[in-house]
Amino acid sequence: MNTDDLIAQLSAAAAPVKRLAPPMTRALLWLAVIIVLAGAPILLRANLGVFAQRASDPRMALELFATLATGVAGVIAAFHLSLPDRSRAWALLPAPFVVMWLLLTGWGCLEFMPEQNQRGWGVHQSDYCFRFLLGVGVPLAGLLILALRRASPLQPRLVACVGALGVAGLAAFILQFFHPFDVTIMDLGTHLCALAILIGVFSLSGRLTLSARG
Amino acid sequence: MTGFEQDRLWSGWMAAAQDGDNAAYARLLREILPFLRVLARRRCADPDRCEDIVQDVLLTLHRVRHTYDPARPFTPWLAAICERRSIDALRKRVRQGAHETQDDRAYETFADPAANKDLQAHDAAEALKVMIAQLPPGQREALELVKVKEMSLVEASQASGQSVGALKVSVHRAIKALRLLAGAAE
Repeated sequence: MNTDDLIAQLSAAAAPVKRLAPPMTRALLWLAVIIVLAGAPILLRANLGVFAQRASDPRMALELFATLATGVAGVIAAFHLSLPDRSRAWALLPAPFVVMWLLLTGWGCLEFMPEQNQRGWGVHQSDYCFRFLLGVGVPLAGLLILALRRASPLQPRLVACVGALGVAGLAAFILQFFHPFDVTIMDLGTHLCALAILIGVFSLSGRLTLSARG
Repeated sequence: MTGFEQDRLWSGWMAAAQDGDNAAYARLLREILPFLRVLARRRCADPDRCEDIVQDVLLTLHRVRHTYDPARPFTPWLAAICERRSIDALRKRVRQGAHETQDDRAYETFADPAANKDLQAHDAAEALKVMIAQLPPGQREALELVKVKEMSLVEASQASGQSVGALKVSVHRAIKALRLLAGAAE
C-alpha cells in the first residue's frame, strides 16, 4: 500500500483515545490493589505475632525489605519499560534488591546449617512453599499482564521478564507471613525453582500477551 | 524552525490527534515522514524495505498513540518506536535469510503437477534450441529444414542446395549429436 493512502486511512480512523496515566501512578495503583487483595488473607490467616518476632531480627528484617523492594521495584520498572520512550535502564532498578535478597537468604541458610544437619536434608515443608509461590505468583502475574497490556509494550519480553521478577518478589514477601521458620537450603532451592518457573513462563507468555501486534 | 519548536509543534498535533482531531493527525503523519525515512535508512539500505519500516512505524504509532504523554517531548517517543520497528525488521530479515531460499521459479509453478506441463514443455524447447545452436552449420540447417519445418527431403534439398543423400547423413548425425548433448546435460 502507498504510504499516503495509509496515512489517509489511519487519520480517517483515528477516534479519540484516553491517555495512559503516568507509569508511576499506574504502578502504585496496581500495588495498592495487591495490598488490598493480599492484605485480607494475611490479616485473617497469618500469625502476625510470629512474623513480628522474626522481623525483629536485623538480618530477617533486611531480607524482608530486600524481598519487598524487589517486588515493588520490579513492578515499577515494568510499568516504565512498557512505554516506548522510557530508558531500558529501568530494567536495572530491581537488580540491587535481588542481589541483596539472595545474599541475605543465603546467609540465613548458612546460619541455619547446624540445625539443618541435625534435622536432616529432607524436603520438609518446601513443597508447601513451592505450591504457595506458584499459587500466589500466577494470579499476580495475570493481574500484572492485564495492567501492562494497556500500554502495548514494544519490548514485551523485557517488560514481562522484569514484571515477573517483581511478581516473584511480591509472592516471596507474602510467603513470609505464612512461613514461620527460617529458610533452609532445601527451601531456598525450592523457592528459586518456583521463582524461575514463574519468571520463565511469564517472560515467554509475555511476548504473546503483551505484544503491540497482539 | 529549531528542533525544539518542531517538537512542540508535533507534540501539539499529537495531543490534538489523541483528542480526535483527524486533520491534525493527518498533518502530523505527513510531517514526520522525512524524519522517519532518515531514521529507517540508518538501519536499512534498501529503499523499499525502508518504506516498509516507515509504514510499520505509522501503524505502531497509531496503535500506541494513547501512550504518548503531551507533557513530554514527542521526538524521542517517535524515535524510540522507529528504532524498535527497525530492529524488528532487521531481525525478521536475518531470521528469514537463515531459513528460507529465494527461488524466483517457485512463483511460476503450481501445486497441481498437470498445471506445470506447459512450463516444462517450454523449458525443454528452450534447452533444445540451445543444443541445436551448438551443431555444425550443415547439420543444423538439415535438421531445421527436415525436422523442425517438416519439409520433404526433396524440398529441403532444393531449399538448401544439398543433395538428398547429404541431407539424410546430416540429419542422422545431427540427431546423434543432440542425443549426446542431451545425455551430457542430464
